[in-house]
Amino acid sequence: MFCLKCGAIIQAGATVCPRCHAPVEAKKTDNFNSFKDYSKGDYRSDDFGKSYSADDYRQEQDVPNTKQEESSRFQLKRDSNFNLHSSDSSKFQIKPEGFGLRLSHQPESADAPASQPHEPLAPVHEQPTNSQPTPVPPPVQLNPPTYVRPTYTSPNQPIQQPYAQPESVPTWKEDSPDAPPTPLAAAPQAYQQPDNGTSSSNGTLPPLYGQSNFGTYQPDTPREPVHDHLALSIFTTLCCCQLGGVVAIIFSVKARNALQRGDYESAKSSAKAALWISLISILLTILFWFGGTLLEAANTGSYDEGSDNEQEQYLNVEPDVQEEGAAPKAKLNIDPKDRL
Amino acid sequence: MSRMPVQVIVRVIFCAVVLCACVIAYIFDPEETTWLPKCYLHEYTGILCAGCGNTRALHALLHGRIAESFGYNLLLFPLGILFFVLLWKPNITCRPGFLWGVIVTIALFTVLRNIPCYPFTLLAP
Repeated sequence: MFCLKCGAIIQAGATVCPRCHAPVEAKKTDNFNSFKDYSKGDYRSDDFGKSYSADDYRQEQDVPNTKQEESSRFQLKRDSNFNLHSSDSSKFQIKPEGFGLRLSHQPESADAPASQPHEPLAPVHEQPTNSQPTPVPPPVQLNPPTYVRPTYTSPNQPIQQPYAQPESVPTWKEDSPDAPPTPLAAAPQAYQQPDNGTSSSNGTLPPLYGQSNFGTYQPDTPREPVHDHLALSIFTTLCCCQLGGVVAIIFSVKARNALQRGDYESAKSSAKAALWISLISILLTILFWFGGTLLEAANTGSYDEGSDNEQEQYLNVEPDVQEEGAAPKAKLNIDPKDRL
Repeated sequence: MSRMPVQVIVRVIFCAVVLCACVIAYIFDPEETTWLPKCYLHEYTGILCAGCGNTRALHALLHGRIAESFGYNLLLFPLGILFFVLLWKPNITCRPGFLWGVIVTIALFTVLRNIPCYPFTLLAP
């Protein structure tokens, strides 16, 4: 993700920009950059919103067009929950699976289930279908359902892939008449990744995204923003209780740093700790203030009456008895408990 | 949406508290009154905390005696400015090193003003 204000890179899960602290608005940012893996030949993020045709799909997945069907187009769309759907969900379905999405192609002949898991969006491209009563075509065979890397090499260039077997790649000179017309035709067989069992049958392809943990697809539920209560902590330090205030400032700074790292949970807990420490410190100080003032008033009151505080009375009485001399002063300094 | 009024209320409360404190500290001299809040850490343990002398410093500052104010408490003015900046712009960008520096400064100030020698007694109120 990128910050809308300053353009800084934001980690997935961060709620504020690490540079400018602007809150991340998830709906507007291009969230798909966070889990795209371009090296795997995924769709690029700017591909979303474009329309795809079945021919594109077949060409990319190296599926022969046995049906000769009219190119039906679908569009990758996002709904309000930021989930991806294809506009023509009867043929192309996109489901979240694992960490990624799975694009599955259902041929038209196959009986599509009546209840789709996702509500299909309104089809954007309602192509005028050629009214050819097609005799039920054989279902498109998609086995082995391996994920073939799309090769974007131009035919004029020899394929330079680490997986290419050097014997199988035909060598030819450029512009020679006996060059094979499409050297790419045989090439994808060499690049087929081994079937590791993740791909299921019947037209379901391995997940488009999420072969790595590079980024996880997480639906962007709006989170409540985290406030590090730094101002409150400083106020506590200044006015009320310094010990609690400094601890609260430390927690606030920890929350702020965690927020910059994108560590939402620890930021939340640290901010909570800072808030509670500050509030308890302020409350204790107010209690101490009132309590101390009241205690003082009570003490002075009792002192005036002279009935309650025997110690004071005793000390007050004593100098009157022995007014002069150094010895009584020394006596006075003795703790009255020892004397009693 | 729902947090904006809360933030505004918190700001208003803070400003009211600070304004009341300023008014009280302007009218009453903390050296003469007894009911103004005292530092109870100092009262019971004798330790000077970083906030000790703030009331006197505020009183001196409001009466225009800036040097005296800094003599009572060095940190009131900078921390007050930081407090108001953070109150108004909670998401303001600053390096994390700066905030750790603030914490270290407060701790160092607390330690230094408790040293009963000559150059450090200037920090004590």
